[in-house]
Amino acid sequence: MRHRHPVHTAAVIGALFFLSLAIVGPWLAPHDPVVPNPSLRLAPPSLTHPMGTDHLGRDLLSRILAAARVSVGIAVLVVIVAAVVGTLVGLLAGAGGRVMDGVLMRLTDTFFAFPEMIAALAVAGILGGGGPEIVFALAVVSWMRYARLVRGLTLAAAAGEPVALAKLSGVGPAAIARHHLLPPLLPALVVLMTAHVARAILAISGLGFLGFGIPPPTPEWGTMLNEARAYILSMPSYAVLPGMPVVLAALSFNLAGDALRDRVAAAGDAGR
Amino acid sequence: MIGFVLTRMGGAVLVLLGASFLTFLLMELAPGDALLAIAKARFGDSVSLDEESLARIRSVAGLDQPFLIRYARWVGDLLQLDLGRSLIDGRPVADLMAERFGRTLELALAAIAVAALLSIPLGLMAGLFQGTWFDSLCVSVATLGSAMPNYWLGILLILVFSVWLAVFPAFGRGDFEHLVLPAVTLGSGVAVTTARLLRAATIEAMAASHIAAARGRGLSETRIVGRHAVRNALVPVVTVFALELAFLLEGAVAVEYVFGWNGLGLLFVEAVDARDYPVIQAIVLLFAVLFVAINLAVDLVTFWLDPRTRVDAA
Repeated sequence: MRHRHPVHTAAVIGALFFLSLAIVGPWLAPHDPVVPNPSLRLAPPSLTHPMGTDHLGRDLLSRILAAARVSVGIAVLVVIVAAVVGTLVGLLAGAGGRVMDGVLMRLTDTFFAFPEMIAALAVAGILGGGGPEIVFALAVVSWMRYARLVRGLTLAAAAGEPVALAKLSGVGPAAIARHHLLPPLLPALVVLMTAHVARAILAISGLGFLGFGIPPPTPEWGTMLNEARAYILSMPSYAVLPGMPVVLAALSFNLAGDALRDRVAAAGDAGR
Repeated sequence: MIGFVLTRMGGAVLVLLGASFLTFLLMELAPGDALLAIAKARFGDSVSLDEESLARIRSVAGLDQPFLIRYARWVGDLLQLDLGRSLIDGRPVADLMAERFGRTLELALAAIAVAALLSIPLGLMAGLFQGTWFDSLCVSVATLGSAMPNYWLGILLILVFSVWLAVFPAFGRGDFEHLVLPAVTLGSGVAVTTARLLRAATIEAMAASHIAAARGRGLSETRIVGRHAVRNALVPVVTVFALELAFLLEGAVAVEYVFGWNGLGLLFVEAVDARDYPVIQAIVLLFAVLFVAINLAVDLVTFWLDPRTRVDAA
């Protein structure tokens, strides 16, 4: 029997919504999100500008929509890079023998010694703003969870009979990894990646808010919040609104991660 | 026992050595000429130095030495607690940090108090009244809270309590009133995690067989909850508070930035902004040391408190 939690369904829909917004967001924007319009500075909400305009007269709704590409899109890139690197390290550690395992896990522990946001801030700040730099800064501080997860599962799988038989039959290491080690990892990886998208969205907007994100005028939710701080007295809605999509996106991906975890656990129980 | 302690401490030292190497390596990431960047940080972007003086400064400062030699020298200085000087104002980094750390600690302790006041009663009640509307409300708020960036919560609190109600100041530090909003902002993040954990622990404790036995003996519900359930549920909370201390210091960066609280977190943002490398290195490393030390302490205390973990460790 399977329970379908309505909140989980909503969260998965929300996560898919934000993923598609990363693709179509800039096209949905009714006005140009970047070009300033000095005659319209801090205009209150109206029919043409449903959320009003920002301190440079740009339509706020358009900027929030267009920002999805950076805020969610970069988060997805971060997660993919971290997952690929972490999975490779975990596979090598789990299947590469004791010495390799010892060295790689010490390396993982060392990277774990830094609080994620502190390290990301230092790396992003020193490298200077820009998409690739931010992806590097956030992936380099977050690949370790994948490495630990994959190592544990690989150790278990490598000790199993199929892998021993494949080795005896002379199957090469790459083929063993592809056929025996990777497939059982996928469900756990997807769960971890979904929750990681939420953390990455929060981290990207956090960097942007502190002034080390994608540089203006490119719209990004955290950077917009930072720019809007100065106008909290004159236009409170501007100071608050860019934070809404951050919370909604993080919430969706968090809960979608929970939903997928429950599904994976249920599938595991059913298989037993 | 001693073997376990020594192994863990040895591991921690090794991790810290690796962390110091990564921290030093971090500065090598800096694009362009490091010396010119330092000169610009200190004297402004218009500064210009000819090749000859650049080369002379490099050799005096030892910047022309190979990477590993410079790293060894840096670690040697660190071990003598010499953190170098700020590139911006030339003050010793250790002094700067000592001055700012106290302010962050003040904020962190206040935040822990807020977190305890919020999470202990709410987490216990939610666990005791599992499945009721009160429980659902607590769970929903906690779920929302874990998706809420602390700087946005800070902005919302400033809007409500400083701009609209005008009861607390939005910026700066000093008296108790300045402490309220930043402490609530920083503390509520910890409160969310702790309350969730406490709720789960309470549910588990109430389901334990000795609770059923106590009911069977005819003890009053108050006595059962007070003497048997709450005590067991509170044990993991102590551990979590220690672990959360590390995350609190991390979260303090954004919170200090929002509220203009000039502690260590704001110093870090300023240093990264100005590319004040010695300050960045020192703060990154301090966070790593605190992180590793707190984790080590929690491991050792858990080991000491809970005999079951000793079997696993052996």
